[in-house]
Amino acid sequence: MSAINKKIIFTGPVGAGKTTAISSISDIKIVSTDEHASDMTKSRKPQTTVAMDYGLINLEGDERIHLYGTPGQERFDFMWDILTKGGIGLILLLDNTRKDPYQDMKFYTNAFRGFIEQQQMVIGVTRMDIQRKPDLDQYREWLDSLALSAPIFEVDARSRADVTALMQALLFSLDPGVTVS
Amino acid sequence: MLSSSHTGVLKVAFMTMSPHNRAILEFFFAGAGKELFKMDQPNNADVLIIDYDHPGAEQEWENIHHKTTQPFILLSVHELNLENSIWVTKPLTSKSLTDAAEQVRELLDNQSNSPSNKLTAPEPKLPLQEPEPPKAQIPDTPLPPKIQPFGLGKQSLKRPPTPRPAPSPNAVTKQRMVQSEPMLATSSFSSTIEDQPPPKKSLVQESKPSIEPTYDRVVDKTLSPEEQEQRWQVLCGDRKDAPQENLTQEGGTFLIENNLLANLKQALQLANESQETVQVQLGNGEYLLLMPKSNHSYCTMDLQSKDFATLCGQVEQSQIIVHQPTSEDARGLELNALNDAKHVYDLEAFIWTASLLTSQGRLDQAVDTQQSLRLKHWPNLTRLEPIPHVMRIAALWNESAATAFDIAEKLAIPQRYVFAFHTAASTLNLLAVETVKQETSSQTKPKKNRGLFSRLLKRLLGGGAN
Repeated sequence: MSAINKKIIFTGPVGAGKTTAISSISDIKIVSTDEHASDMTKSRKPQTTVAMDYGLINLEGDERIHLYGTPGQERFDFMWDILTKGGIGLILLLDNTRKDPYQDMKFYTNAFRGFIEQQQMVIGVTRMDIQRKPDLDQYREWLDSLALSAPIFEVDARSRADVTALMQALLFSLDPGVTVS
Repeated sequence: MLSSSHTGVLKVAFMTMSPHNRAILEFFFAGAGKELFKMDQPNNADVLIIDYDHPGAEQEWENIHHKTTQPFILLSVHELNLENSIWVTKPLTSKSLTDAAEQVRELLDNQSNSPSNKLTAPEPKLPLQEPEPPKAQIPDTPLPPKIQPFGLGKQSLKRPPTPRPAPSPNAVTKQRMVQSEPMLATSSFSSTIEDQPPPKKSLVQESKPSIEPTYDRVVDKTLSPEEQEQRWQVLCGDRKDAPQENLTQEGGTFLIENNLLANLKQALQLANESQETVQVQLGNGEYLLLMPKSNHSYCTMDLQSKDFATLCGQVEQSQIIVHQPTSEDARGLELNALNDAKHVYDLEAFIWTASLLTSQGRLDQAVDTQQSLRLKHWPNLTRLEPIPHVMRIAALWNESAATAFDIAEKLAIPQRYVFAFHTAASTLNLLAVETVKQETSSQTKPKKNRGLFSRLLKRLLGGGAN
């Protein structure tokens, strides 16, 4: 029997926690392409992902779920189409401390709209413990204004429980009838 | 010279800071302390605040204190006596912060009156660019195995009981509920963001346990499986399924009138409309606050206690009074809450748990059980107290309009979990009536990749690895 390989994509702006989130649930030490930031990014973090992050979840038999993190900077958006091919869902991480999270949501959901319509998206908002506003009600309104529907949770990208909850929401959104076999 | 008057609101900027202390300070600045402090950029602030016990903070102070004349407020459990700095002991209290504001003003006044200042160029302030944050690290220690994959596994340390703050003296009866002041303009979140500098990345876990209360964590991850089962029974009851036509006769409904939940809904609506703090007096000196600006609630009773569960389950709550305090009284109440911060909760999480405790797996008698509903938005399930099957219920109800009975049948789960979800989601205004009922089958149809999803789910829940 041939191996089954599926992809889940993590995306979002610089510093939202994509690399950390993948690390939280990957079975392998993630393959990361962090480099010292040389542009505006360095005001938020000293290193940033310039190609992609890669993690893996091994299932029974030969099945694998590949976890890909997109680079946050918009100038790498040519990679996004390639990364989403064969993907089963998108996890969008938004940083609540950024200047305009709505613009971030708008930008990324627009960039991945075709994929979202085919598959499913869940949203995790990070750093809400640092900055309480905007709150989740505001994010829900923004989703409505963009004619999108998706689970949206407050998350800590370092918490396996939180990232697992995002993954579960993604799976149940794709198929509410799924149960543990 | 410094830009703001030293007798007015002090402009402050956070330097290295733990999330817990940041949350406490923001809560204080948004409410009781709003006339003392306001957030600003480091280069424009009158005073810089450092959480001195946080990793890297001491080094940060060493690096920058000689480059600026701005005074520092240093938060620490240990006494500090450092140059141009004011030590504020932890845990933070409103009084210690108020005192610190006064001391900062004195420092600033001394600087202003210094003869050398009158002869020299404007005082240097910190450049806009922030110091390099600590590098992100993934914790080496694995997180403990999870029974429930929701919530955050952070443990709160037990603290000795805090003296209970007195209730507001200005209570009025429910019938006389008044809005004491004209409605104030809702604060704009965008301006709030722009007023604050982007916080530094702080992914390094604290090396020692936090002594501060943990916000937003209703879920107690220390529960054993048996305790978790018991808690679910308190939240969702143990009622057996009942036919739709006999639901009330078989105890499957509750009357919301004269119940705490009715008062809570009223208070929540008032708080959301006015964007001002609303108090609900519970009798015997107990009360709760809904604080929409900071998105917090406060209750003098422990949300996990038997007493609070009993209160939610009682009918005929004649003692309960919904009250909108004056701005001055609200400030006093918020100060009390700050001093008893272990009882401060995320607003949505508080309403969710109170609704579950009221429902106990039953439906409000006023609910039209024939009416199809759809979940407009998912609840914030990572921060709400979990109940069994909550993700599946949310997913199915979001995907298709259905009655509570349809959901229980399709997912083949006990009705009580769906009814509990229905009550809590309705209170949070997340369910909406849908006029066109979709064609439904009795079971969810298998979809593409169900087998794979099932194995991935198993893996996520702790099994099925190679």
